[in-house]
Amino acid sequence: MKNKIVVILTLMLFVVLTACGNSEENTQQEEKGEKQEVLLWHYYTGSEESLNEILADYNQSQEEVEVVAEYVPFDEMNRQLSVGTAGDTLPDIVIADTVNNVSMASMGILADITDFVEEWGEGDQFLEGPYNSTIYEEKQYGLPLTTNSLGLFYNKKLLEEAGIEEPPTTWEELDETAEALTTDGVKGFGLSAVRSEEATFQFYPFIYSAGGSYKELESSEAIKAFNFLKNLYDQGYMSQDILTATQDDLTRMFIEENLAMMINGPWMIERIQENEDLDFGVTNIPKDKEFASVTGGDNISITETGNQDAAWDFMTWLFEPEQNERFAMETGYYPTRSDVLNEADYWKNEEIVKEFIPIMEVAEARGPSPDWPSVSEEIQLAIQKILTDELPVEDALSEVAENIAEVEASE
Amino acid sequence: MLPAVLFMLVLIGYPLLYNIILSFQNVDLSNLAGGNREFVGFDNYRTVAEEDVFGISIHNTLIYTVGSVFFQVIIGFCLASFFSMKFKLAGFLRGIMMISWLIPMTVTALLFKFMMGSEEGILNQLLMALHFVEEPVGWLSSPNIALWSVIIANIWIGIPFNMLLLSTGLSSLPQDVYESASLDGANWWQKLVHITLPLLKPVIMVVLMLGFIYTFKVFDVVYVMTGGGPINSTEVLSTLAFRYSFSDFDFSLGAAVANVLFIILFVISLIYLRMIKKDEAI
Repeated sequence: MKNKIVVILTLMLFVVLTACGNSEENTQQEEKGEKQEVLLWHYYTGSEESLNEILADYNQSQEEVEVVAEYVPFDEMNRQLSVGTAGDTLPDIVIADTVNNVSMASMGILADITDFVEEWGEGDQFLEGPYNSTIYEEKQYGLPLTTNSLGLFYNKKLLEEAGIEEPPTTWEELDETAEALTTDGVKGFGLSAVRSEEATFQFYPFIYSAGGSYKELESSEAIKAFNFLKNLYDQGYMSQDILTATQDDLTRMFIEENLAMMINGPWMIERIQENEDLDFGVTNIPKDKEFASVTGGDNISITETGNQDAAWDFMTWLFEPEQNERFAMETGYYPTRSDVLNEADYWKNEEIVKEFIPIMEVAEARGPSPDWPSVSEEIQLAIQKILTDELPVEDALSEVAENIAEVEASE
Repeated sequence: MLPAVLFMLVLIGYPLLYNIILSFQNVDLSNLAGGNREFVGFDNYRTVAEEDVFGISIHNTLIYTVGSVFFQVIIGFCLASFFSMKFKLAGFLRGIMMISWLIPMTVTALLFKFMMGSEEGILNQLLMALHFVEEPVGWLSSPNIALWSVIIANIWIGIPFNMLLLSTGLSSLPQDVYESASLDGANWWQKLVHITLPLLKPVIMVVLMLGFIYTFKVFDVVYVMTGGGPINSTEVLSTLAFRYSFSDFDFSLGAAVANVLFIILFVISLIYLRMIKKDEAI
């Protein structure tokens, strides 16, 4: 028995060792090949095919560089990046959530591409909100690849049944409409207050609209925004479940017509449209002082350890107007070049999709802050404390303001 | 022998040691790959201990574990006794019971999340239709209830496993003891307390032990159902360690929390080993 175990273990060790040996040989062979290989990490699921087609086109268009894509699940991206850093197996290019761009840069994973971009000279073509999310300490650590923002989705039939002709545009109207739409089985309004980035993302437009920002959460503007949302929650116009509801959950409730209005982004349009009976519209998030929204989307960055010249060659190709348009169209997002967004026909004419164009114009980036994950966590906690009556609005906000100041000072 | 020891050292010893070293350094993404790692002594443990959320997590983890294991074993035992009565289809039904053990834990957690929704969740609709409650219960959205909701889900997940182990134990008990007890006029309660439980004690101890260790380091159920919220009401040690490491990228803090978790489990294992020894000595 014991002998058997020894034999099996030794065999396993052999397998492991030979496997390691092989992979080393492989990389050596690749290096000898004519084209330089550039590894790209992304988390696209629905759009993976389009991405691969675009990469194939690039790879055929020239003889120098071969871009290879590797899929990493969205939730896993941060973890894989840290594992990659530890094991020295980072890719050359990373596509990641805009909000992580600056924090990744501050940790030294990403390459400073300021000089590349300056020489290229097309940096001024980008939309301002997304572009700002790539800048850390006045240096550039990536380019915005796709962008999107949050808007108000509303169920036209339910609004009609409640005798409301136009979707709400101000907070006051939102309050009235949500009340009118709330019935036994239907909640008037919904946004995500789950304990993750999604809650910060969804609450932020309201803070912006009142004139607040994450740096002054104890301000009367921020207090006003939270009081407004808390009232909607307390009145029962929003479900208790928003505390655990992700944006996906909101969409599910919206499709089931249990939710008449919600905050969500354009990546949900296709899913909702699959239900042909559901007649819905999208408009600006109702405002306090002015219309506001936040940008989401992806930035593309080169890693510090990557093959920077080859990666940059690929990026300049990817950001030609033609490719920027094609990529955004096929991924269901919006292009990050303002010339493309303004001139291309698709976004102007496509139903629902076009509604997001005015929203994009008022959308700002979250942060940007190198400590964003910690800042956001504090905001998520404050949101939940306020909604569950753990703390009064003012106390929760002055606590979170203090904590955020501490986080930012500690760096 | 030697390859086995080597294997253990590489696969178990190394990560353990690495984690311990990590918890005494100040490692984030910037020096994870190499570069300057400072030795900071017990700073990480001190930082962690000063955070309110750490005490809350330990408290939650204990309630979660004890609550889950207690009900899992009791319900598991009842079911095991039930299926040990040799009626038709007993084996088949017991097999069916195992299905909930086969479903991936994240899927179960998602199902419970749906069922425990405030308005559309079937649980509240049922309770309200039967007039047990007037207002929908915030199973996952109320900080006072959320932990117990997650425990309920976990109990459901763990019952079949406990049942299976206890069934095996029950079927190995000598039948002649029961026969002579019946002759002496013992009722079912006396048989349970004076025969079944004492004879089954070693098995029950194993089940408790495995259940405790398995539940104490729970991650997926909590992560999927609540993400540690609302506020910190369902934050447990494993989710806290995960958050420190992979959301804040403070790997050393994460390692410190993970080590606390490990030490608690280690001590409990030692107690268990001692108990077994005593048992054998008698």
